[in-house]
Amino acid sequence: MTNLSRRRFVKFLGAGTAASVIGMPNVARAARPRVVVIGGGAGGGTAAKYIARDSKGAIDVILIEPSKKYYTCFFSNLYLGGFRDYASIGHTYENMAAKHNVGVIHEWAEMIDRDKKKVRLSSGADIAYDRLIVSPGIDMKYDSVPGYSAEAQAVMPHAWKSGTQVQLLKAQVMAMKQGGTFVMVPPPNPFRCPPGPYERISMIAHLFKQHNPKAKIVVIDPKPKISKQGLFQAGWESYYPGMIEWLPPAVSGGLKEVDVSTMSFKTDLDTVKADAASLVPAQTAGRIAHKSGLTDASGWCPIIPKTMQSAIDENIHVIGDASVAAAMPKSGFSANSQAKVAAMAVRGALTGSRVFDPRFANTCWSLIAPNDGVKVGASYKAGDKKIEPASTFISKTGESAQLRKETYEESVGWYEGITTDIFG
Amino acid sequence: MKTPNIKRHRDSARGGVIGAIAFAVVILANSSANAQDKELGQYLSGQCITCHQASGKSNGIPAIIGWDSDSFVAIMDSYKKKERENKVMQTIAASLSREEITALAAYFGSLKSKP
Repeated sequence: MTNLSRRRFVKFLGAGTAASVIGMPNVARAARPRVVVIGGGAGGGTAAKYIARDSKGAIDVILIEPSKKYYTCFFSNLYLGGFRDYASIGHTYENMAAKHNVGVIHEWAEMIDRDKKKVRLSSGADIAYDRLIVSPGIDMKYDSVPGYSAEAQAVMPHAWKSGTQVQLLKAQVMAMKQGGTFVMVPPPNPFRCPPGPYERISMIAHLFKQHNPKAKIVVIDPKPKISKQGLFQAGWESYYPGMIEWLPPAVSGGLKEVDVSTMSFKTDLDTVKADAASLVPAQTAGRIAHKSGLTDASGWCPIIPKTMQSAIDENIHVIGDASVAAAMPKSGFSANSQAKVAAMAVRGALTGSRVFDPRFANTCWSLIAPNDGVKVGASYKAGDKKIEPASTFISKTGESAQLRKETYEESVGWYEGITTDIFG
Repeated sequence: MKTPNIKRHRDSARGGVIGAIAFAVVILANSSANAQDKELGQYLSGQCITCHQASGKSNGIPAIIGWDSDSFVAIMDSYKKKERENKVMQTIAASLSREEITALAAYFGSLKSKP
C-alpha cells in the first residue's frame, strides 16, 4: 500500500471517517477494476471475499457494512433456546481486510448513482465502481399489521434482522409471568427464512418447558401452510404437548390489528392478550435497493439467474434476501450460494476469467428440541427467467432419534463451515 | 461413517479393434479434461466448503480433503445411487456429472489440512 493511495483514499472519505475504515486497497484506483459491495452479511461478505481472493489482487474490492461485528440471523434461534451463547454468533471483518485485502468501510451506503456508477456513503463521500454488488438484506414493512410500528419493536420485537434484538426477545421470554401467554405472529410470504418462525416457537417452548411449564404459545399465522409443517407439528405434539396453538387464517380469520399498549391481538375469532410477544411484519428489500430503483412492483429486486445481475441494471448484481431468487428461499445459505455465482460472473466480466455453469443450493436446518434437528433443501439450476429446483429433499416424520441427532450435528458443522467461508 | 460395499470402477477390458480405439479415445478425452479439472473443481468446491471446510476441520460433517480420487468418486457414486443415506449428499451428487465429480476429487485431493 503506497502512501499516495492511502492519502487519496482517506481524503475522499472525509477526515472524520478515517477511523471507520479497516483495510486499504493496495494500489491506486485507476490501476485495477473496482467492485463495490453493499452489505457484509452472508451474501455481500461472501461476494467480497471470493472476488478479492479468486481474482488474486486483479480486482480492487470495497465492502460497505455498517456493523463492525456481524451477528448472524441464522443460529440466533439457537442462542434464544440456550444452545449457544450470543458471542458465538458474532463475526468480525479482520480477515476480510487483512487476509483477503478487501477494503472494509463501516458506514451506511446511502444512495447509488447508477448513471455515474458511484455509491454515496453516509459521510458524504462517493465511491466509484465498475461493478456493484448489492446485498442489503430485508427491511420491515412496519405498517403491514395495523397498530404495529417501528417503535413497537421494543415492546414486541421482531428480532428478524441480525443484531441485539434477539437478546431483548430472550430477556422478555425469560421474564414472562408464570402461566402467561406468549403470542407469535409470523410474517406473510415471501420472507427471510421460511422455517425460522417455527424454530423460534420451538426454542421458546423449550425454554418454557424448563422455566415456565404452564405457559402457552399462541401463533397467529397469516399463512395457511408453513415450511416443514408436518415435522414441526409432530415435534410440538411430542415435546411440548398442549403448549402451542397454531392458528392459520381459516381458524383465526386473520390478525386484524394489534394494540401495543395493551399487548392485545385482535382476530376475527377472538382478542388474545399477550404477556410477551414477537411480531414479524411483512418484509421488503433493503431500502437502498428501493432508493436506487432496483426493485419491481413486488418490492424485491428482479435478477438474471445466470449471473445474479439486476434485470434493471447490468452493472449491478443483487444477491441474497433482497433478490427475487425463487425457487430458492431467502436464507443465509442461499445468499452465500448466490454470491459465488455473482462473484464468478463479475470476475469473468472484469478480468476474462473462466465462467462455468452456475450452481445453486440451499439447506435449511431447524432444531425442534435438544438433539432433534430436521432439514429441507434443494439443488438448483439457472433457468432463463427463474432459478429452478433440480432436486429436493426434506426430513421425514418418524425418523430415528439417531438420525435427528446427526441432522442437528450436521447443522453445527455447517454453521462453522459457512461462517469460516464468509469471515475466515 | 458406514463403509459402503464399493465396487471399484475400472474400465472393463473390451475386445476387438473398434473397442480398443474407443478405449483410447476415452483415455485421450479424459487426459485433456484433466488439465482443466482442478480449476473446475475449485469452482464447484464453492458449494461443498460451506459444510466440508477447506481446512479439513470437521465438526458433525466429515473432512474430505486429501482423499485419493478413486475413493472420492466411489463415495459420490454411492450417493448418486442412494446407497448412502444422507439426503443433502444424495441431492448434491445427483446434480454433478462424472466429469465434475472427478474434478472435485482432484481439487479436494490436492488440499492439505490446516491447523
